[in-house]
Amino acid sequence: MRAAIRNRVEGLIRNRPSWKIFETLLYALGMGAIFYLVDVLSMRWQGLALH
Amino acid sequence: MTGLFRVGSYSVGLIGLFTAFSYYGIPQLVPEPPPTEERMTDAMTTGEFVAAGARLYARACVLCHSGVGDRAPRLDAIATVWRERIGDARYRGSAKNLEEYLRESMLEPSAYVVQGFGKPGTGDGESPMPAATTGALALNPGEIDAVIAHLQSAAGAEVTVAPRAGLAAGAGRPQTEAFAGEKAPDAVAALQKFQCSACHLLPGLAVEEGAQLPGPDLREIWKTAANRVAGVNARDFLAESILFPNKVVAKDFEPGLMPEDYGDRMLVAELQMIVDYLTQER
Amino acid sequence: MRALAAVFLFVLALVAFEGGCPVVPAYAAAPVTDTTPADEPTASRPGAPKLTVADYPTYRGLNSRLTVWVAAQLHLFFAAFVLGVPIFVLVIEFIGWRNGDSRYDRMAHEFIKISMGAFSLTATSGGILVFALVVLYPGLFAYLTRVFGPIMMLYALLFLAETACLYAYYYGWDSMQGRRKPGHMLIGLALNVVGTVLMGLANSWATFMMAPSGVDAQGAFAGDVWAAVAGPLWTPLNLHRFLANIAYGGAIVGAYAAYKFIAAGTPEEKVHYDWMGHTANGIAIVALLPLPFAGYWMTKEIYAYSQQMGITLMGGVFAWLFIIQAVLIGTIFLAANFYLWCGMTRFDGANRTAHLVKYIAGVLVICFLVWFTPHTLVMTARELAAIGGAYHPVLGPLGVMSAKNTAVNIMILATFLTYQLFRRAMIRSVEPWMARATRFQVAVYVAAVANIVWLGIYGYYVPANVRIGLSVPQVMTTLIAIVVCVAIDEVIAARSERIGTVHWGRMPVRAQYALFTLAVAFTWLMGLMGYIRSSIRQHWHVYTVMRDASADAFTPTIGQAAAVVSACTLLFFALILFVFWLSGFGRDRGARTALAGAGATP
Repeated sequence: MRAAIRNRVEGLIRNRPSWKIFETLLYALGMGAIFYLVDVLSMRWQGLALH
Repeated sequence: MTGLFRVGSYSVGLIGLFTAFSYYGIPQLVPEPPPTEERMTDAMTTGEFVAAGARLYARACVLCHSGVGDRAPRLDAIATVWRERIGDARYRGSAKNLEEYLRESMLEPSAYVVQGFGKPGTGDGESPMPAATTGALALNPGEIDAVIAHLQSAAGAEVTVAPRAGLAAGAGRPQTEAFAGEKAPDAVAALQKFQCSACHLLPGLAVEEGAQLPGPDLREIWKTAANRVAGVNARDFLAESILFPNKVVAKDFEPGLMPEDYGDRMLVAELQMIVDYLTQER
Repeated sequence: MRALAAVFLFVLALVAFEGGCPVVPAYAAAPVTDTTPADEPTASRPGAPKLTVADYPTYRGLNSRLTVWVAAQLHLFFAAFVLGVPIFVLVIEFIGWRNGDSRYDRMAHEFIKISMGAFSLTATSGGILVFALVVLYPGLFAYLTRVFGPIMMLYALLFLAETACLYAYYYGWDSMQGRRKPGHMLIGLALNVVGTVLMGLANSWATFMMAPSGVDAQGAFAGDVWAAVAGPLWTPLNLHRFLANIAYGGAIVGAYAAYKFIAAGTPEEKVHYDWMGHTANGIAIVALLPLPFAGYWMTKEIYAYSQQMGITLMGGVFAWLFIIQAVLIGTIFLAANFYLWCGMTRFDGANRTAHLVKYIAGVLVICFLVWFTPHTLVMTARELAAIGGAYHPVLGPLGVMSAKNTAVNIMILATFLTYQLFRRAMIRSVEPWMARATRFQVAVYVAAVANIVWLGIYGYYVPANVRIGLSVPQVMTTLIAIVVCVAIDEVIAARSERIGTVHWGRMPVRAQYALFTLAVAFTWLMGLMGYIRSSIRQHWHVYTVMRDASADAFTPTIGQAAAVVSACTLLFFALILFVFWLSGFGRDRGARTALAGAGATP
């Protein structure tokens, strides 16, 4: 059991989540900001407010 | 051909599934039947009047004023809040008491719009409620009074309206209906005024022999009127038959032919005379 | 795929055009008032007739309401089909002309052939409808002709133009090739323009009955027929029906292709009908995507015209009908996606993206459950009925709206993702920037889903009118995500290698049943929505202006209405199978067998 856990942890460290995932998350944050802008504008267009 | 059969059965099965879901997966509510106008008579007690108002309220008002989903303000506390509303700076009406406020709210809903319930974009300046006499609500003045009575009663306030059937007494009872012509001098004149002989054979009036009339023969109604509906005496039965013609339809006669607006057109005195005349023993 | 992208962008352009028109229309809360001072209608300008039950002729054994209902519904099924098909036929013909690929041209020709047989059934059902109205509802029809007389004449005359264009377009197909192709396509364009105008004119009668304009409160018509035509619901209905017709046409020809595939004798026929089915499925889904937006607009206009009608629609007895709608739309999405997943078996070897399908399936099923269960809890209908009554707002449109909109937007995104995976399975990105672009696309999906879900949760904490308004940013998010991803995909696909071949014809039979599910569900859904549109008028012929005084003015229970919709659907399918059978006669069977087995570009 301990050996299995150690193997797994070593495997994870060896295959670190690469920068690719962080890059994707960064894009997602950027798009999230754009979508938020879309939210605010489309609510304002209807005469409502996004609190 | 087997392809057609298989595909056909599959389609029929799928359609069957949709139908089955609509029957068994959805509660089979029976929608309200098309509304008929309620007739108020001065023979009604306040209790009956308020009950009629409650029925109208359930049919026409509850959809929005049930208090759920922020569609329209709740009205159960109206007896306490109406004063603040009238005192509010945005109030544009002229009501001085609860009855006037309720009537004004029904006839001119935009006179005061409760915060948050206005049409989107109007800043609570315009109400989305249609005037109660118009459009899909289409309440007549007597029905409006009944709803006011119900609201007053439900809110625990004094009921200040009474069924109007031509009697105007006391303040706060607007006379908005004009009655056609003057009161007929006697029963026969009344029967002629309302052209009853167009459809009915009547005692004391000349008849065309062999005429096929759309309404029952009323020359001997005095004999049977008391026995038509259990618990209803002859006079009440005749009054009801004139004011609410489709409640009891005589055997072999068509419903929906007799006009339903005698309650508006007939004076109470005329109604009394006709009923007296028809129940006279001959 | 380029074909589909073109159809989609065309549709999107139309949506943008229509959406760009003033969306906050200048409607009046009350019908347009007459200019003359008199409140009451005059002898020369009478109001709507006040009918009594005696004014409706009755015939033994004939239920008037049912007769008009079935005739109208059949007419709408056929009309939607014959109006929708020429739209995508023209687009496919155009693409075939630009590519120089005659397979597109032959497929377009076959599509229009299917709709030829349906054309006369459209006219027949229309004739039955008109006669039923004239005979059984003379009072109503007299009033409508008083208002719309000139429009009805124009409508009848335009059928001459429609017939001329359709026959020239169809019969001139083979002879107007090569240099004459642009001329042929112009005829096709004329056919579509005339068809759209016809639809618009007929739509005005339906919208007038729901939200009358150009008449006063008593129904007196002031003489301005354009005011009567261009009511508050007219443009939303035009847009909705235009899009829905395309989707519907696609679904029905998909059923045709599915049927022919099952009945195919030779491998070449299988290839041909498989490709046709795939195209039809694509058309149906692409046109389906913007429909929620059109539906939202229509409901918003109904609320704006009469909040009472709006609340009756979404919060009263009719609210339950939208649960059935949810079930049907869920079925449509599942069927379309299932077809696409099956379609991945056309590719050689192991499919790199196939393993993701089960996650998409899971997402779709969850969304489906969320959507058709009120308040997102799993309650049986009996439990709900125990809680509520006739006007009970458990269905509280406004309480469920958040969840419903969230679910439908996620379903649309999931479906679109399936399409992208399908597309990507066939190509291999060669340039390094493509991997980054793909990561960006993933980011767009993640952000879009997060935004939609956040808006959905937020909706539970805000007042009703804000909650309804949240639907717009949700739909905008979905549309933006789709547009951005399509644009990127197009560029990637153009510069990528094709790996392996697409084996058209290599499809399991169950996929064809998915196409049939699509067609049946679409038809049944159309019948249901048609019933809703008509029944929210309740006991009015023309809402608030002309009362329905007939014996059938009552609103039936949902089960009864569903039974009629099912009967109409069965009748329609019986007739359309007849049309399919008819279209099998002809001289161009030879053309189909000439199709090579090599994969056509999807």
